[in-house]
Amino acid sequence: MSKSKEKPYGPALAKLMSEKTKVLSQAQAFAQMGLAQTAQPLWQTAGSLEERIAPRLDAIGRNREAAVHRISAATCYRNAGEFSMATNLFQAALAGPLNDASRADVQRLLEECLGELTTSLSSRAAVAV
Amino acid sequence: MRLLRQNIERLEGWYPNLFLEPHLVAAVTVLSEYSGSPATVDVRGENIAQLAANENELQLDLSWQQAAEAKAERLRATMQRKPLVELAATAVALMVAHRLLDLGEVDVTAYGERADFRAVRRRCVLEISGTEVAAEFDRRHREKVAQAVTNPFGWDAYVVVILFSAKGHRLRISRHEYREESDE
Repeated sequence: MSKSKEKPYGPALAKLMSEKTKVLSQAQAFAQMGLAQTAQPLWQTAGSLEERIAPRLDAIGRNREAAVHRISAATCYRNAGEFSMATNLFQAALAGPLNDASRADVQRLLEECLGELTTSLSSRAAVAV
Repeated sequence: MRLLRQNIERLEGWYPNLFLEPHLVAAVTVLSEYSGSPATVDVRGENIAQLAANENELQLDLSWQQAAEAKAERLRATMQRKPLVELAATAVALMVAHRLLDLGEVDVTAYGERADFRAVRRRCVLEISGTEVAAEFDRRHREKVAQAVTNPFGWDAYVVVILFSAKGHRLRISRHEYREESDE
């Protein structure tokens, strides 16, 4: 969709994005500081907020931004250890209007995430046995 | 040469939706290892419309209060060097972005291993990196530019790379147009 068809965010979406940025910047900072356990629930919350933001961006004609927020949601869930959710969102992002470089990045991230999902499922199965 | 004076502690007030406490403490941690307050950073702007042609080189004086140094000491003891430098670079870059570019509110997205900053009311992204190795400075800038011009938003980009060094801190800020040919 062309830039001219994009609508402004509106106050509700702007507030949601601001809330997400606060949580996501906390998660990133704690992760960088090596505080993975503190960051974990924040990644989960940020992922959930990004998931809510993406379709709202689609609805106002900002499809490319929506795809980026799906990548962000997937990354957050992956960092939270929620590999199934992350995989679905990386796949959803690939259905969006990404440039070649981003598409290649997301394909790689998806493959890595599928590997992590497989490992996670195998270790759960081993524990169950 | 134009001089910008800036107190590091003011950063959080400019970006109320960002969690920046560790970043500003990291900036004090790194800068205070090289000098007392204020620390001087040589800034070079490239293709920055907000700077007049004869203003491409600036001096940034970054100051902090003594209370921040106690927090800095604790952070130094607990954090690895590379992420510490990245947090510090983010703090300094966001300060310069506020002073020179007037980006307004910034949104953050997670993209693989990295954090992407972008302006909310303007169509531009901000790529930031920092190093303490002088030989890496220009290469890091080139890498960040290559990344920025194919950013997933499809917007123009500002790249800010900072060198923290005993021989003088340096900051390079440049603006780059998005490469349309990478679109599908």
